Amino acid sequence: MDIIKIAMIGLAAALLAIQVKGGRPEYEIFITMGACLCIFFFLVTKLQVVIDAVNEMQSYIRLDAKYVAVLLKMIGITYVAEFSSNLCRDAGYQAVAGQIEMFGKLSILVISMPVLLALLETISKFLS
Amino acid sequence: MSINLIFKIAAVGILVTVISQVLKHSGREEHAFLTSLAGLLIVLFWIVPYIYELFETIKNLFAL
Repeated sequence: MDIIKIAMIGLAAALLAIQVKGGRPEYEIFITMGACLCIFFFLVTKLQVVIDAVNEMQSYIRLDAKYVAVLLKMIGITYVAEFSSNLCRDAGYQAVAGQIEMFGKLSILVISMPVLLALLETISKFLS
Repeated sequence: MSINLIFKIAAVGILVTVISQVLKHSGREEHAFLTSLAGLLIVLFWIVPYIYELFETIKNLFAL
């Protein structure tokens, strides 16, 4: 099953990273980054299924494509921010990781502003 | 692109560690530095295309 393969990759990378940590610490970051990349490429296939399902769902119910695009964009930003901030945290640079996460949150807020405005508009239309 | 990427990087890491130790003990400091630099470059050449591919996939997948 896929999950066993993922677990094997993660464990192998962790053990190898510890092995190399003594001699040359910079390779530890490379090994963990390689493991993250491997696992990501397995993840993409699963993600593609989810995104196709979302698109199919959109055709059934009358939903503005803009909102689904915003949703997907948020997921993308979260994933990239999470990937890079965790790698920075592994390398021991908490401040950089914090900054990346802060930027990720703010960019998600910026993206969701139009949706919020549209919501308030509809509400004000009901009230007035 | 499965797990052999990790094994390659680990192999280069261990090899460079051993070589630099040997070179250091035999008195050639700068050679040790050069080998570690070479090892670093090799691993970078392996990893950078994958990272580029990662961000390209994310850009296409999420329409960023």
